[in-house]
Amino acid sequence: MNLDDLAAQIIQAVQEKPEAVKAISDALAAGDAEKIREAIHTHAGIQISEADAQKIASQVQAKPSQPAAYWT
Amino acid sequence: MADPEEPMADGEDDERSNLFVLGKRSFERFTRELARYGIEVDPKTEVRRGRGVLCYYNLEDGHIYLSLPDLTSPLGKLQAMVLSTTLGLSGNEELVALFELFVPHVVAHEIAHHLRHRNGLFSDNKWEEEQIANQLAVALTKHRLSPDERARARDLLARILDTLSAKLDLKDAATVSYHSILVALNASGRLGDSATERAQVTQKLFSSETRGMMLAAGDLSRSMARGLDIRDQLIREINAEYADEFQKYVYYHAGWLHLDLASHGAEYVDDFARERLGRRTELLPPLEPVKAPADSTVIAYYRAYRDCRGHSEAGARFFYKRYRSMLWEKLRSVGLVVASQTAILDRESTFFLESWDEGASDALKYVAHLAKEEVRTLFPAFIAERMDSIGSVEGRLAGETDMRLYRHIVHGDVDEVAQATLYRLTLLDQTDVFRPVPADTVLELARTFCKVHVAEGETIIWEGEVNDDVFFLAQGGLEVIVSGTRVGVVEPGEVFGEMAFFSRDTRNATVRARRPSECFVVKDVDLLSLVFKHPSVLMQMAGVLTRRLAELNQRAVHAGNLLVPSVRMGPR
Repeated sequence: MNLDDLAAQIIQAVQEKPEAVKAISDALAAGDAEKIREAIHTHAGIQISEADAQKIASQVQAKPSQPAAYWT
Repeated sequence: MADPEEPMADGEDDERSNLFVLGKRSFERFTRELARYGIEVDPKTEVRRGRGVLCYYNLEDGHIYLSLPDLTSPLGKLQAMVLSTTLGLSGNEELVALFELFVPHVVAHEIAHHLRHRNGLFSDNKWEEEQIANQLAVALTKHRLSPDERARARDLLARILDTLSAKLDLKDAATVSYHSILVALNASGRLGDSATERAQVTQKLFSSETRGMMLAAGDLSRSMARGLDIRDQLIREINAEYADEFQKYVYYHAGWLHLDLASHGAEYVDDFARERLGRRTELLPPLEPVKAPADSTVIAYYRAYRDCRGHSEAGARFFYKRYRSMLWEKLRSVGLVVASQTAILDRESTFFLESWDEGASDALKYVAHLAKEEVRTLFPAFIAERMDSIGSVEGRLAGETDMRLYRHIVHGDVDEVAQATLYRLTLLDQTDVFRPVPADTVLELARTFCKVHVAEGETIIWEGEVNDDVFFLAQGGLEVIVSGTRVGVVEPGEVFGEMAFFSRDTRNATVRARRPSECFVVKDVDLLSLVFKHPSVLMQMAGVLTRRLAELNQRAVHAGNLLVPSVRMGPR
């Protein structure tokens, strides 16, 4: 799935739902693909694959490969 | 998935673009500023757009990647949502405010990684590299934030820390793992200002290990003592995990930054260059003590003083001080006519050696009548007659520093180290405060003070900020502003910032550059230990302070106001 499309769907689905925002944000910040998939399914009603969950987590956090880069 | 390091197109007219422009401008400004300290950022290094929400310096391509959520795209909105929620912020507006405050800090931090890397100093100890990078970031950015901006930044960070420490169960971990335990204890409100200053001076004098010192002093709570017990373990964990856990990583950085902003101390680029890039300006070695000098040695120093007079005022004064200390040693070794009075010499040495002004008010000359006949002729009133009794001056000077300085000043010997030393001695000599200090102490000071370059219009001290460092203007011109009104100027050679040093209160005035200026700063802790050894420094500073207050009061009277309350007293 295109990540922008997925992001748009998630944002649309969680509007006015602070609990959903929190649950999905927490899952994405923690970075566990299974939990992200579960949170998006439970709180946004969107079914995604674990690979997509991983992709979107990577984009949210956007970690470059270690040890080539250092973060601040 | 797109490569997170792939640069994005430039030019969107949105918040993210504005922040990116802010980042680029900060990079250019810092690069120029660092150049003034002789620190070169690789001209090929660029600030590029990254993706995601964190920024980094890429060790492979040498560029800085500034990642900011693009609020015009769905993915960017999702990133912003995750960040705001993770950090406990109210929404995008507050998130943008956070970035506006910290983008320059982040850029400066990455420049530090770049400089360490470029100079082959970047180590595997990531925790340490982060602390080092923060040192430069604070040096380049903290003084650019007004006290109000700092307060706003601290509020935002405090909220982020509350949110993340609750989520991660990491109470005090940032404090415990901060690079300076003493500063962390002070900035987090666990150790008072006065106790912190005294502990810092003691630590400096004895190179004491902080935890042991604080435990033995009874200054650590049990919980903090336990926290410090696991400091090494925490640092090992930070090194091992690093950015693996996004939230933990953000927690540590927010915590360290909060301490940086809350701490009273300032960082200086010159210090960073010296300590972290190995850019030490080589100076002549410390002076060796001379016991029981020969008459010819005392005379040689007086001759050196006379020889230097036409070449360098500061050099001449240095050798006059050296002559006086030689004469003093001679007096002590030979003893006074009344033997019991020799002990008074030792006891009161500071008064006789320091409270002098070139010319009439040299206290030492009033001891001449107590000296034995053979020593009396070495005093200023008589020594001229013995000037020709020695051959060459050079062979009789006591050490390498004196010899090289003399040759450089009098014979014009090309000696870069002597030149750098003389330059620093000259800077110190231009100030009323340090002019009377003995030669060995001036040399010691020359080794420790930091240079600070201030661009036109830039603020070096903010009214209301907490910092007790004392500055001296070497070149340029500054203006002093109180509550938005210009109340005075600072000219080269003048001291400023001394009020807070004495009052231990917040800064009373803002000091801003009227033109490009070069100052040097003596840090609070260094000055604190110096003034207890050399009361002449205190006397001179008190004199400056009193004159300044008298001027202010006079101005207030002329303006028809009540007298200006000179120093705000009371707790910070």
